[in-house]
Amino acid sequence: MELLFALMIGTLFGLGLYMMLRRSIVKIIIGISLIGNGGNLLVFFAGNMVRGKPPILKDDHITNIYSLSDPLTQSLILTAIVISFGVSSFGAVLINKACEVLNTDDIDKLTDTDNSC
Amino acid sequence: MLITPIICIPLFGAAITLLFYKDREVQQWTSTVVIAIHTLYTFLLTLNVFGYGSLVEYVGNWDAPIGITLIADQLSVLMLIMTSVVMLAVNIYSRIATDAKLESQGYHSVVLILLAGLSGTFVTGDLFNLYVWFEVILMSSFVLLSIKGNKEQLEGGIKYVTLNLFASLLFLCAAGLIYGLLGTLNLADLSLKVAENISDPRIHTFALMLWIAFAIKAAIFPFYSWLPSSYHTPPIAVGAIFAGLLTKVGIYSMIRVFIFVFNPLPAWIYTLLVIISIITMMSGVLGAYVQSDFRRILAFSSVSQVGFMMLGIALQNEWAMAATILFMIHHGFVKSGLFITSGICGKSVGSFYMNRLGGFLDKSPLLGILFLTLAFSLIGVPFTSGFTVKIMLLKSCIMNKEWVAIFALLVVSFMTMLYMLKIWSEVFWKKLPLDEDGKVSKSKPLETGMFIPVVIVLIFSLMIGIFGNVLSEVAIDTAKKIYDRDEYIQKVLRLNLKEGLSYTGSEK
Repeated sequence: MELLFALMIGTLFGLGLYMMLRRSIVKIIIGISLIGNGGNLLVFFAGNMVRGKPPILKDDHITNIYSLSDPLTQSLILTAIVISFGVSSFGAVLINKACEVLNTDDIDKLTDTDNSC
Repeated sequence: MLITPIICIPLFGAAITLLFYKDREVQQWTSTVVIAIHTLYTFLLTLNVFGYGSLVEYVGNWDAPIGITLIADQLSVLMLIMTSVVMLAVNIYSRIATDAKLESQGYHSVVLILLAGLSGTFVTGDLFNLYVWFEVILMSSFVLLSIKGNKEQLEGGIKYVTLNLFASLLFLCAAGLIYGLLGTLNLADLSLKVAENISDPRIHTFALMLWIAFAIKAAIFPFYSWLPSSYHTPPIAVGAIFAGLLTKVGIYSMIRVFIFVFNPLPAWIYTLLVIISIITMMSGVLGAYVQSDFRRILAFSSVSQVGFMMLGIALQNEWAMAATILFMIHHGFVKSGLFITSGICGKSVGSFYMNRLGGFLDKSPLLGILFLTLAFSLIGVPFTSGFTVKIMLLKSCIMNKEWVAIFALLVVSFMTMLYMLKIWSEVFWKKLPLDEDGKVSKSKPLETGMFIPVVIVLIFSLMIGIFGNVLSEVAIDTAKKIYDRDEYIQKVLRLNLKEGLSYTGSEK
């Protein structure tokens, strides 16, 4: 299970970085959301994953809290998912608008603001 | 005294401005009144903190390591004062200078949300909550940057958005990994647990991940390229907020997390940081000198000034930390003042390029004096705020025997003078150039009301220079409390003073 998750996170990060390094701005946003998902999984993975043991203490005889999964990381990634959803939707709108106004989606052509003339 | 109003007041104001989004007058007045109340509350909070010690608030009554803790200590209130004064000045400027279209697109509500985000960043005592406030700041700054939707802004916006999103993802990953390793996110609790495992290389990795995330926000070499390509694109009011406040968020979080929690890391890291800060200073100053756009000179100048602040963090002594804290406040005032000055000149002529500007000393000697004083302050002439902070930084460099840093500091200050002179001679001394047809180009008359915000920030900046002695003692006291963490930890975790720091967090 851990190995599967580690491979999954690594793949998501790798794919995301690959997409971010491409020249098209649309692919940058795809890359960012892939890395965002990788990051969310990483946070999920960081907090003690246990299968089939929800952290609901019905009775007091559970002595080892490490046999339960940590609910805090799950609430953290809920926040993170909402944030990354908002940010990606903003990014999508920005890129749509940018493609309309600039008439290109090539990063290498976006040099207007860097010229020092 | 409660801390939450510092976040709630601007949020409430943002809600009101959204309700009246068609009525420009109501929006303007609401945002002015809300920012004024925020400033007033900040000053009250400051008096309270300096009188009775730092304030702690447990949100939702959850105890310290479990729930979110808000803490207003000396560093937070100093930053809050800077924030609200700069916001007030920019608000007064935007009443006169911002066009109706921008305001009807929700400029005021987004600025108020940005203010809430900044206030939240400065008072939070929780790593994940810091991330959330970062995102609030990011989202509102994205909107402010691309609100007009013209070509330049969208280009600058894409560069800004991509790098800053990457930074916050890195921050999120680091926060998650730190929680996985240490089981806490509360900064006070975290600093206790980090102190127990300070030699663990995993901790060093996470600390550096956080440092990179903050360095991208603060525009430090080699991550600064987004700043000069985006800061000059938005309307001047927005540019002044960004230049004055947003890079300081990165430096503040670096002090709060990288220095307060993860200290001491191995010595080579700090040596590396000194080198990086020298490169940042140099590249910013060289970049500024070759530019010919008023705003782009100021944007590059921000990069070099951030290098000074980073140097103060890297030197690892109390004088240097105190210098960094004062430097953030000084730079917030001075840079937003300079940006507003550039806006006054640019609006009058209709261009920000040096070869189109000119003749402003004849037109308004007062503006010339204001600009010159701000420029002296940025350079570090005696009796201005820049002198106070640079002398403190120099002293700490001498204490640490960092001769290269001293050399770099002096050279960069000298070169700051060169590019400020370039602005002075091109924009103020030179006659207004002729346009393509050989006629004297038209320029609109200046509105005196626009000078008020510059005067406000200038007064605060001069106060740092004139009361440098008192303020440097305050800053050193603040810096001592950052390195000596006991007071903060005791306040947050409600420890008994006699027990000392034997407490080990939630699972005892």
